[in-house]
Amino acid sequence: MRRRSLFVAVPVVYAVTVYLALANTQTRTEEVEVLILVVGTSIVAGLVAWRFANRLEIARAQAEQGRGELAIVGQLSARLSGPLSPPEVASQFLAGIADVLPSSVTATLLQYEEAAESIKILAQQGGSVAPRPGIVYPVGALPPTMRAKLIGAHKSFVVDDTSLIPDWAVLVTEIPVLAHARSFAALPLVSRSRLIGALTLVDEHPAAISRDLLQLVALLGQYVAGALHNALSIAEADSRADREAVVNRISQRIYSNLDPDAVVRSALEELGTELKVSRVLITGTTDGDLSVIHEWHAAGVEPVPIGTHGSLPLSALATREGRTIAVRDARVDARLKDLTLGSHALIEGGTLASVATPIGLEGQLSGILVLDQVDAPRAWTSQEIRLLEAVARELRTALEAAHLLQAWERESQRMLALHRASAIVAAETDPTNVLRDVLEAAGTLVGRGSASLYRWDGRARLLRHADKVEPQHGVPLVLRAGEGISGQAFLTQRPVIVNDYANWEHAVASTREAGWRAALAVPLLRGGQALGVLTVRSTNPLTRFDEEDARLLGLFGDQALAALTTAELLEQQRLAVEQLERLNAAKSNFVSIVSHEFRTPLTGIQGFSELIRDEDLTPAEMKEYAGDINADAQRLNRMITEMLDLDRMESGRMTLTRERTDVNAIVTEAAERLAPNSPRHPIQLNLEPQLPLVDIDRDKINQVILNLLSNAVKYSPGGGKIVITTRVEGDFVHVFVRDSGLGIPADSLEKVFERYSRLESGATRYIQGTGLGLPIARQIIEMHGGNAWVESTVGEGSVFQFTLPLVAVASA
Amino acid sequence: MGKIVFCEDDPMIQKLVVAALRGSGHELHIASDGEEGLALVRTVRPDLIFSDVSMPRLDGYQLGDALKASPDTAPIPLVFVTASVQRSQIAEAALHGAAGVLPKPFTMAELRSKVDELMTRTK
Repeated sequence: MRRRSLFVAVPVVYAVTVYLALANTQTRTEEVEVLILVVGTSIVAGLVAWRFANRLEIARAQAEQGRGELAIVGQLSARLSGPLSPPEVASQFLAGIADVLPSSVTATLLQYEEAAESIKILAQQGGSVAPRPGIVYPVGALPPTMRAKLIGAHKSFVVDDTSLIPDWAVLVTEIPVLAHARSFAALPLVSRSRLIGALTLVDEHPAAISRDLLQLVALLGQYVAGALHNALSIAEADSRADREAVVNRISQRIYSNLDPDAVVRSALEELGTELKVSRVLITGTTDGDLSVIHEWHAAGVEPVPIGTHGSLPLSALATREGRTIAVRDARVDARLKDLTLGSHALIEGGTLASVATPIGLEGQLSGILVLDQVDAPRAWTSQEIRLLEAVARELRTALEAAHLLQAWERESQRMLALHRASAIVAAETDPTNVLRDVLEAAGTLVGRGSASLYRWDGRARLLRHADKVEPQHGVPLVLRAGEGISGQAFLTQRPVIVNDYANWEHAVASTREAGWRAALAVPLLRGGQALGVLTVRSTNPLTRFDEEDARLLGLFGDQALAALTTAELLEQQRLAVEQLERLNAAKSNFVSIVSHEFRTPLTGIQGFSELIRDEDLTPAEMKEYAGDINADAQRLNRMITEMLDLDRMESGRMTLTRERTDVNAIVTEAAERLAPNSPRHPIQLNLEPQLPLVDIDRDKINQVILNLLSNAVKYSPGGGKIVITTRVEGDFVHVFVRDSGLGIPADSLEKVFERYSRLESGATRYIQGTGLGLPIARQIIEMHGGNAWVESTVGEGSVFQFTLPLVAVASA
Repeated sequence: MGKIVFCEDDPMIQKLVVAALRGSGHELHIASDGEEGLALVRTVRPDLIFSDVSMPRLDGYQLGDALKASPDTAPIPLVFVTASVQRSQIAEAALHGAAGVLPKPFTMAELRSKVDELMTRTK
């Protein structure tokens, strides 16, 4: 400036000196002309000189400035050379530009951590503020316009006077250093199109940061951005290597375990210990509600119970956004104030800081991995977040493997259970026990519920409940094809699973009322035909049957059906063999009895005829013996007839010849016939006088009464009264024959009516008979539509009785 | 000549035995059941006893046991007359003290030879 004024001053002094010298020698007119000339010339010369001086001055200043910048850049270059950590780069940079900044300006170099959505103070310098390197602010703490410009658009954000921005203090609450700023500038540091960080300049005075300064700083900023980027890349590579080591360690632990629960447990523990967090959780959606599924907590930290649900806003946010969400301080984080995420429950259990990342499994979100810090807010670093994400990825893979293995193990366990159940069922040969075992095994096989088995009755075209005991839980005894879950399974020949039984359209009312909540029915198929249905039901509302259960039950059902069929065949065979054995025994017994009985009359016939042949007899004797032969022949004949009669009756080859008959008359006649032969057995008649006539086969009923009377005599060897009673009871004529004989033990009351089953006791074995009298009597009465039975007390006597319907019933 | 007690519940066979042994010279006593037979043996003191197996009150085997139980009657030969002639029953008859078995139906000759055989032995 001084030099430029000299260039102006010299022509002016020259002009005045020339004028004063000329003024003494020239005329006034000439003086004026000369004055004008000189002044004009001087002015022109001055102007030329001034402009020249001016140009010179600018060129000089520019050279000087360039030299200054060059010096700073050179200085920076020297400072920033060599392997420096990002904070070192930052502080060297700030030291390097200190000279160009006014002393009242606070310069801060920030690192932007994209993954953590935060900015971190790398270095700070100048002004009255104490340097706070290492502090991390969430991006969300920045005023929105600044966030949009700086982070969104990578543009500078400059405020000349913060007092002109409404609510400035409120916008920067979370960054106290900005609260006192009047001038503020934030310049993005961009390297290779990536936002590396920012440089902020803060002054307590308005308009303290000139455009020149900003330009200069922005220029230098571009220079440091590259250096910072390199330093960060190196640091990142280092930390990645560290992280890989941790992840490797964790994955080794989690892959060494094949139980998904244990996999998760060890991963949570490793992660929690490595990152020194208070808690590690896995939350997940069950039935649309987020809840805590796994939890690890550090010693001395209050645990968050598994199953805690309903208000896990961070997990909800991570689920909604499908990415990692980090919260430095839950008390002030605006994102968590979104009420749709649930209440502010992140702070529950004292959580202040948290970070959540989704775990995908088989293409589906299987949960959220969450880190909690309880004692203080925590700024999560990219390093930590990447580690969390890496563990989540490892966890996903490990879980997939473990789930596969578990599925395989579950499958083999199911198969084992199936084999065991089948073995139990196959071990039984009694159909009742097989059925019991089948039902028990079926219920336990699918883990819960009770089972029923239906068989198809082809003749009635109905499904019949196989268990003969009273079914429970409203289980229907018979079902039509298609009726209820069992009927559906039968009709469709496919398993039917109903987990919402109460609202199922085909549910049978009684089962719904009995509280069935879930049911599973599988058809029992053989050769493509449904032979029945095996159904498992549960009244537990939590029970869910699935395809696996259906498959398992189906496999079991096939074996159960086979076992049941085999057992039934065996049983039938066993019964047939038993029957045969019984028949055989009865037959040989019969043969021995019959031969014994036949031999007695035969002895008479043989003996008397021998006498007639061999002895010298009088004609009277001869006649008498011939009569005896005849009597014994008749006796033999009667025995044979009786035997054949029963045979004919039992095979239905004998018909009744009914006529209206007075039962009292038959009874009286029989008593009269017997009386002379049994003087020790007085017969008392106790007859109903008004006994109606009945349509009966007179001869057959007579035979019955005679048989009962002769039995009464035979089995009362000590003699004793015999009482015959007749009366009308309801629609029947009721006849009683009471003796005071030996009596019959209770367990033989039915046996006496069986064929050839005369009591084999010492007391009665002498008693003769064909063993067919009572079976014949019962047969005859039953042919008339009545009943025959005996009541007895051993030692006191027996009451044989029978009924005959008043109105004739078609004979069976 | 000796004395015979014959126990038999069937009246026809009673009559037949009486007729068969009428000319033998032996003294024949008939009983209708075991009890009657036992009483008769005690009073008559026979040289030979025949008994049916199936009889009311006291059957043939019980009668045999009772006879063997008493030293007075034990030595008297006892013959069971039975329609059951299986091996097992013959063995059982021996158990109850039988000296012989006469299977039904028997011929008069068989009856008489049995009488002669056992009467000779006792004499």
